Amino acid sequence: MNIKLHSNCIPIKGYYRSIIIDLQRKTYYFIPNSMFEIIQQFTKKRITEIKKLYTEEESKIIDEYINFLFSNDLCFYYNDVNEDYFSPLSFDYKSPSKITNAIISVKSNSIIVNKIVEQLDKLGCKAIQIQMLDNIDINELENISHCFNDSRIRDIQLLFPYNEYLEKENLLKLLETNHRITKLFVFGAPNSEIIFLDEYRKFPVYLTKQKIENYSFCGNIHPQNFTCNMSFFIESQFYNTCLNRKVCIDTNGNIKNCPNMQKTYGNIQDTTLTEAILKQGFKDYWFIKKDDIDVCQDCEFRHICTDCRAFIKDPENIYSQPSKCSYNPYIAKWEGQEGWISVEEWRKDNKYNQNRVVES
Amino acid sequence: MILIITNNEDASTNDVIDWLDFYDADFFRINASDIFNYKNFCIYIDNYDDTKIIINNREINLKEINSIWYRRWGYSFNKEYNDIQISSSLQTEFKDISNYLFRLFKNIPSINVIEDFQLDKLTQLEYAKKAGLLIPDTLVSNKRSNCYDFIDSESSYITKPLKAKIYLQKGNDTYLNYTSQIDKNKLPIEDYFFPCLIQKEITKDIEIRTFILDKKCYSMAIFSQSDNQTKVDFRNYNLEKPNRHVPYKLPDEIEEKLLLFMEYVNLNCGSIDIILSKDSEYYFLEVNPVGQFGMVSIPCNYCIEEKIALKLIEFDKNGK
Ligand code: SF4
Repeated sequence: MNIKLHSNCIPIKGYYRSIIIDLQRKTYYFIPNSMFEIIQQFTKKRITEIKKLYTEEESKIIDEYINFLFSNDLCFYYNDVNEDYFSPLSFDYKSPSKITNAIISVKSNSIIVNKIVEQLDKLGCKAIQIQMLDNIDINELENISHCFNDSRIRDIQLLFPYNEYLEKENLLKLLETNHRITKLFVFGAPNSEIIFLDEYRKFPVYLTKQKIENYSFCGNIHPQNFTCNMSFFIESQFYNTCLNRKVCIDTNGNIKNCPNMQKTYGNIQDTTLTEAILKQGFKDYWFIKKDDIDVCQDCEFRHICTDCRAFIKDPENIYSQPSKCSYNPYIAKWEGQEGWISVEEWRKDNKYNQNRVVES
Repeated sequence: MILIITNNEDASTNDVIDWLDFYDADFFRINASDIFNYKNFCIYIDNYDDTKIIINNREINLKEINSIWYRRWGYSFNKEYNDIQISSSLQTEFKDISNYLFRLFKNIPSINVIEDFQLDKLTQLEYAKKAGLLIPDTLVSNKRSNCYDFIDSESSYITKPLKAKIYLQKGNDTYLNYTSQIDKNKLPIEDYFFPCLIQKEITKDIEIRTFILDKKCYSMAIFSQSDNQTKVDFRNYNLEKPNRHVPYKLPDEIEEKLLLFMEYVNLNCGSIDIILSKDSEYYFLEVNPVGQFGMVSIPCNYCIEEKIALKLIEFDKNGK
């Protein structure tokens, strides 16, 4: 008998600790690096053989590890007969969409939305976030959502400023009749809270006190924003987890990778999205994966964490850590936790070796 | 052109269409509901001209169609009419229209076959056996003593419908005829009854679902919980957790036999249920030609949607 992790439960080693990502159940478990090492040996040796390499005390710990794996249904016993048949999960990232997601900032009219829906459709775009900066009424929200009636976009998120004249019933009607609208975010609200439009709590609205004049609220790195699923994980192996196949249009109609980046690739008035993404440089960010990024490459969260390339610690170094991340993977602590020191401080004390610390 | 025959709520169809779009394929989708809803549908036959067919507002020119995907095709009239007699008559009319259309398309290369041409469970078992696969011992009989003798006390046995899914609503109770275990001593007391199917239950290690397309096998292992529980007793199991679905590679020898089976039953696509027994033997249970490939493709990252699209495009190219 031998043990194997299910091929959709994947251990990821960080500098200080590791995690096992359960891609099927969309969750992750912290494990010590010593456990990661033991798991690596599963593929080569039987448990009895592995234990022989350790003292009796250590063997007990190995038993605990195995118990942990079984109790979370992360592994299984197999016999030699069918050992080869449990194939690993392929990390091939395939998508029929040339663009998968878009962000559009608009100033109080739906004309621009109308104009680009067709273009996004052609690129196979499935998700769109529309940020409205000016005050907006229910008719305008409806007009905007109507622009998508014949499109193949499946997921629309709307961000707009608080307006006391927006009635709950009207918003509910909007969501009930437009199944593509998946999220409403309201800025500049009296309170930060989540309210539900219906008694079954099917339609939440996310309210925040924060006012927005631009897109600089974006890019926060926080466990709440981690994404634990198969497509994200697989995309993260080779691509940037924020910018890959993304296109943005700012309030002036400029086409960009991200609303918070300076570089533009033409204006929607005279350039199509297809033309813009083919311009030299547009796709460069798509290929900056977490394994290439300083600090992140040593972090156990690197395959569930949404990256940010707009706000980075060293603007001169495009491979530097997101500046809105306060995690230090070398000590496994978030800012505010006891004993936290910054990555920079830690590196001064520990003569950080420029070579990559964690082998992927 | 590629013709897609499906129902309008089928999500897997959309996933394949995304790939057809990606490859700029020329395709046309018809949904079963297009025959009844507010879209032009028309078959015109007279003494002089060729038959004219319009579906979903578009004239169908048979010479243009080189490739067909039979995904799904069905419509339920019960909701609209709430009268069994009316809805079953309408169903018969709909069947006849469908049969006419599918007969026209018969010689065009296609993925899948339409449900009416599907094989019964018993023929499937015979062909699987002929292909060298193991099958569970099976009995269909109307006689009590036959059933009694068939069931030995060492193994457990199950009964399941040959084909019909029965969904009965009596008062507040609902009855479904799903697969269930059968007890030798609880057979009906009558000497004769309506023929039923009894099968020896294979004690399973894992279940395997194999999707076959164009002579390639895409398999997935399904670990069921109760099974793991008996194997590993030191864990407390959370029943809310779904079964594990992970990629699996069948031994070459089994794959070859499955492909031979597909050849015998004349299918180029289908989803096969297999059981890997405790003593490490693979048992064929059945093939479902319109199986949900999404349930294998997504957890195993096989991207079967793209493969279906590419096969349809290949048929289309070859026909030009
Ligand atoms: S160090 Fe990098 S990967 Fe880790 S949490 Fe911060 S941004 Fe995410």
